Amino acid sequence: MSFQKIKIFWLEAFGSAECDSDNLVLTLSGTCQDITELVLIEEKSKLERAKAQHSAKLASLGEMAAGIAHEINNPLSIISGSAQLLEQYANNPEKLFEKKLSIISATERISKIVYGLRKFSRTSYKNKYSIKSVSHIIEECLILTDAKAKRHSVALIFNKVSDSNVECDEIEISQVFINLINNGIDAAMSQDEKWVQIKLFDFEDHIIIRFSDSGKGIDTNVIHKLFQPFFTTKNIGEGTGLGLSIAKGILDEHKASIELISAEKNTCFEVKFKKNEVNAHVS
Amino acid sequence: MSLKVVYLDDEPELCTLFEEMFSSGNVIIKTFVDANAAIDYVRINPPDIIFLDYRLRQTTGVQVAIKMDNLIPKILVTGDLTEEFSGDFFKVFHKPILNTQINELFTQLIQQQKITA
Repeated sequence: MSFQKIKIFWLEAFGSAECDSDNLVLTLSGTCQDITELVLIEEKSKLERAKAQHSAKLASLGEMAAGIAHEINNPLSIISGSAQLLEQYANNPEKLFEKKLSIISATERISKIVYGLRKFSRTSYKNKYSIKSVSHIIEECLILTDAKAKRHSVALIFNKVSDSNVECDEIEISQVFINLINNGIDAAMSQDEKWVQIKLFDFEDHIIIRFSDSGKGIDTNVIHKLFQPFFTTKNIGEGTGLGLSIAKGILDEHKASIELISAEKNTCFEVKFKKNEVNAHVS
Repeated sequence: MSLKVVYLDDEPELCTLFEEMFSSGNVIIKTFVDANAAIDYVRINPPDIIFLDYRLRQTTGVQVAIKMDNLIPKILVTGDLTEEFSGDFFKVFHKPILNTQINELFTQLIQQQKITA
């Protein structure tokens, strides 16, 4: 038995008919083009983009691991210590209740952090779109970036003037926001004034999120390169440079945009989602 | 003769727990959430041993240790994954700290106090 190698071709065909006044077809014409190479290039590009996104996720996760460990170890210590005291307070209902509340509260702290980590666990390349509250996404991102901010004494300020929702892949959008917040922390931490501000508001038919920091700003010579893959302003070993190009790619897929607002005194990246009929306000 | 211990941690609940778990007739514990308050206290009331949380608000346990009497043994307590820390520390404990670690340490220190008394 012999097997023939099957080769797949992609063809793009256009056809049209020329008709007379009585709608009788006079001529048929058309083109048929082999677009196999184009399709293969696009498929390869999608795969490379997905791999790059995955690498960026791992890079972000690595950067946050130390901070997350610290944020988990503190409530873990509270649980451990409170549990050990339960026996000591066996005959003291008030103290028992106090320790029980401590354990529950500490457990909730850990749960929030672990829940936030699910953003990095998915490996499927398929997007999962659903309606999500933008402010809720930002709040979850702040939980994950809070440890790094505290470590460098950078204040994270969230100014929310919108309750709008977006239809999005929450995990991918979270990755964009975490990248922008982490970049802001990196810029602010060496300054006397250390803060990162996230402002969420609606403007006309857009939902706008502005990420500003107290850093020294971006050199005007490199502004045009900011969204290029692997471009970085950080020192060797401090960043992968994948962040902004990946962020732009994700936002492009969401039909959203990202740009550096040059008019602002501080570095300010603006992410813009277009409102549509599904952007209902959170009740 | 009692062992005088100072514990600094920006997490108030951990300070309360440390005091509840290890205070006794032989061990007197003073806890602080504020680094400057701890530094001022230690200057006036030098303890026998100091526990310093690594991650504090606005500073680190390493920075605080530098501002305290270098003759007082210090223990760095950390929830970080980092293994190496600068500074002269008697020990480094990783959170969550085990009761047994602290109890053994206090027993050892009290024994040493009795010997040198």
